[in-house]
Amino acid sequence: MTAVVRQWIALAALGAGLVHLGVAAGAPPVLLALFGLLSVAEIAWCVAVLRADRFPLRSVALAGALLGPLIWAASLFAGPALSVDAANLPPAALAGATLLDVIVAAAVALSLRRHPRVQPIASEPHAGLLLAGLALGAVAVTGVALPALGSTSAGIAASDGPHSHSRVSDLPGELPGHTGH
Amino acid sequence: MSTARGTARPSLTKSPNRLVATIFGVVYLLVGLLGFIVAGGGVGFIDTEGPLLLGIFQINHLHNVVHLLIGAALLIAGLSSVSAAKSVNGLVGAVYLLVGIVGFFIVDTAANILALNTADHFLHLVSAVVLLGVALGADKSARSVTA
Repeated sequence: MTAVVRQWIALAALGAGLVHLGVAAGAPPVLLALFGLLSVAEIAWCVAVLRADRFPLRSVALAGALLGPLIWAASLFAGPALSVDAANLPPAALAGATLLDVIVAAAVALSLRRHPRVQPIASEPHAGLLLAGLALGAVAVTGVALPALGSTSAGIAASDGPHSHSRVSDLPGELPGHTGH
Repeated sequence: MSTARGTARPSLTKSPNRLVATIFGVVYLLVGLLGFIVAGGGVGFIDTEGPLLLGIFQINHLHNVVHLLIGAALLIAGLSSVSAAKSVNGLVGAVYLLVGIVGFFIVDTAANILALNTADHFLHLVSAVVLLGVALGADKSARSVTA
């Protein structure tokens, strides 16, 4: 696997971590802990890949990349027991994170299949190629992560603002946009 | 200095860190200067809303000052050495990542002293990813020799 592709995989993990962080910010305690830990692990793994020039802890990373979609699916089934409702599981955000996680999982699985024991270290590419690849990866990952962050409850609250009149009231009889008064 | 320690000093085009720091430095300096021209006297120093730069990016004067400082730091580091460029790229990248995430959650609050909008968040996150990526992932031979 070339150094540029490896960087893209690291950036995909970073993007998934950022989205899970956004989901955790608006989630009840159980999901806050799960998604919070997952996002920290994803961001740390991204840093480790960039520094090490290989995929560290490949088996753990493979399982971890599938953890996000698993938590999402489990929350959908066990929602009432965990005090989770649909607003805590923004589908667009979690779909974006899942897309990035699946890319990470596929790349790690491919690496494990091709090089089960020792990963070859790719030589550092030309500076221009490295930067072009990095910029492309950054735009692609941010293009997925930012709209996903925007669809989290924290992101919606942020874009609506504290004095917004666009929010729908949660309580019967309460006027829209006056939930904070 | 680095020569005395036996380390090579790659040219600007051979070192991704020096290249990124220099390009980003020039761009952010220009953006800062342009911001002052666009904003003029019509916006307060830390107003939470301001004019749009290039019709997209919301700015105020504090935002412009930050752009100028970051641009200067990156440009100086990029023209200096690989290790300086790596350090400044990593530091500025981390700050931009923080601003990109935190800024996202403080829009429309009094804490938005940089007058950030969605386009700013996108630019900050892309900048953070590129700067951190190059600081962590490039010029490793320079790091291993100097370490």
